[in-house]
Amino acid sequence: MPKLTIDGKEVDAGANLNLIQAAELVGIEIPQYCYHPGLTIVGNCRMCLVEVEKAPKLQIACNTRVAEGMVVHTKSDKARTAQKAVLEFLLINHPIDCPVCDQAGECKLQDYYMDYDQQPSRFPLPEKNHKGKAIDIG
Amino acid sequence: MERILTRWLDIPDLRKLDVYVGNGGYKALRKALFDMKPEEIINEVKNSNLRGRGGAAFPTGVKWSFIPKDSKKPVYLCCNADESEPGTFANRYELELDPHGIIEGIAITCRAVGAHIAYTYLRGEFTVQKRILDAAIAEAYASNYLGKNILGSGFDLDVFTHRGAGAYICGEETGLLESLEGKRAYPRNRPPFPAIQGAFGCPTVVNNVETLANVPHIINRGSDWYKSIGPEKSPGPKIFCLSGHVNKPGLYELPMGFPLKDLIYDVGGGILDGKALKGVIPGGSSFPIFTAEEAVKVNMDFESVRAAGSLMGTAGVMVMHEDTCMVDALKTIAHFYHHESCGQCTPCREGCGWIEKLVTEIEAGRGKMEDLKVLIDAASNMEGNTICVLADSLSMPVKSFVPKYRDEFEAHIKLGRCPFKDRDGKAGGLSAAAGH
Repeated sequence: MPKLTIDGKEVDAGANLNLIQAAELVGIEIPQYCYHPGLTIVGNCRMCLVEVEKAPKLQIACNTRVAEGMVVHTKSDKARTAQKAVLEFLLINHPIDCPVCDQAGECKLQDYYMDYDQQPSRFPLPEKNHKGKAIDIG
Repeated sequence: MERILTRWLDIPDLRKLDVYVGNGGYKALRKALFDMKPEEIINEVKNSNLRGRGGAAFPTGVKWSFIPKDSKKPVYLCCNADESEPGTFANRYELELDPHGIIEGIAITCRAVGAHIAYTYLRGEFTVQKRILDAAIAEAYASNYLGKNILGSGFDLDVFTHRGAGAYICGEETGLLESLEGKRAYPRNRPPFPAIQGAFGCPTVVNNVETLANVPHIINRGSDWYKSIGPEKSPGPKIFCLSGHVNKPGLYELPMGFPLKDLIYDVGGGILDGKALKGVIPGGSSFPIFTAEEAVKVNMDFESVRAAGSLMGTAGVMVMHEDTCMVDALKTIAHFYHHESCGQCTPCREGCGWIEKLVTEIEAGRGKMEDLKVLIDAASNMEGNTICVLADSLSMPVKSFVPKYRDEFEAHIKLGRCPFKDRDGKAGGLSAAAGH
C-alpha cells in the first residue's frame, strides 16, 4: 500500500487508486468535471490539475496513479492558478442561463465559480459562441 | 559541404531502385542484418547523438531503447510523414526524391527494435508522395529488401503506407497513432508512452521521416563520422526549410550549428528588395520569434537555439522583413492553431479561439490596452496544461510576439488601425510572405 502526502495529510492508499480517489480518502475534494469512476479516463477537462513534487509540469489528478512517497499539493498557488484558468476558459463560451437551467443549484460550474473566481468575464459578451435554443423564450 | 540527405541533387533518378543500389543503397541494411546485433544498431545510433527531426529533438537511440526487450506483443514502427508544421517542407521532397533512403531507414530501425510491421503515416495532401513511396516499396519487395526472409537473413518486415485526412494534430505522435487505428486523432494522455502502449496497444516507435533518413548513413559510416558534423550534442546534416522574405527561399542541407545569419544573408541570398530584417521564426510557426538583433547571433542547432530563447523544431525558418505587420503575422498563426486545435482539452479549445479573437480585434484597430495583458495571461494559462503541445505551440509565439513587438501592438490600438496598411487595407503579413 503506497503512502503519500496530499496537502500535508498522510494517505495510505490502495495501489491502483488515482489521486482523486486517494484525496477522497482524507476528505480532500479535487475539482473535476470529466472524471467518473465508472468510465475510462479521458483527462481533457483539465480541472483536476494538481502540483506533484518532482514533476516538471502540473499533473491531472485523474490520470496520475498513487506512488510511494508522492507529495501532492492540490491548493498551492500554481495549482489554484491553473484551476482558476481552466474555469475561466470553460466559462468563455458557456451559456449564462442559470435562472432557467435545470442544473442550477447542483452545478459544479457554479460551485467552483464561487470557490475560485467570482470575477466578471474578461471575454466580451457579444462574442460568445451562442448555440440556438430549441424554443427561444427571450 | 558534401550533400548527404539531399543526395538527389547530385544523383539523378535516385528514386529508382537500381540507381539507389548503384550508389551504395541498401548496403547499410545488409550491414544491419548480417554484421550487427539489434543492440549494436541501437548503441551506434545512441552514440551518434542523432536527435529526432520532427520537432521535439528527442535522442533517437534512447527512444528506441525504451521498447521492452521481452515484449510478448508485436512491436510496431510508425514513420511520421504527416509534415504539417507551417513553413516546413523537407519531408515532402525526401519522399518524392529519395523514397528508398526512407525505406532503408525504416528497415534498419525495425531490425533494431524488433518490429516486423512498419506503418508510414502520410499527411492527407501527400497523394503523389504516397504513389511514389508505394512504387518504391513494391520495388523493394520485388528485390527482397522487404518482405519475408529479407536477403536470406531470416528477418521479416512488412511496410504499409497510410494517408491521413490532413489534420495538423495527426502529426502529434499519439494523435497519429489514434488516427492510424481509425479513430479521431485525439492525442492520448501519457503515461502510458507509445514505447509501452502505442499502436493497437502494442509497443511502438514513432520517428520522423528525416530522422529515419539519417539512420542508413550512420550505420554505413559510423557514429564518429556522424558526430564530426556540427556540434557534438546535436550533430548531423539538417535540411533547413527557408521561407518568407528572402531572395532564395527553399531547402538547404547544411550542418547543424550553421549560423542563422549566414543562412539568411549568404545561402538565402539576403532579404527581399534589400530591406531590413525584422524577425525570424527559427523552427516552424510554433516557436518563439527572434528579433533581428537576436537572429544574427544564433547558430542553428538544438542547444544554441534553445539557449537563445526559442526552439529549433523542424527547422522551418520563416524570415520577415521590415514591412511585415507583426500583429497580422500573429493573427495568421493564431488562426491556424485555433483551426487545428482538436478541441479535446479545455485550455486549448477555448484559449486558441480567445487569442485569435483578441489578435484579430487588435489588428483591426478595435483593441484595448488591457487586451495585451489578457493575451499574455491566456497564453500562459494554456501552456503546459494540456494533453499535447498544441496549446504551447500557440502560447510560445504569443508570449514572444507581444513583448518583442509591443510598440506595434500599441500602435494598432492607439491608431485604431493597422499602421502598415493604408486605409483601404492593402499590405503584407506572414500570409503574404509565405505565399499561403
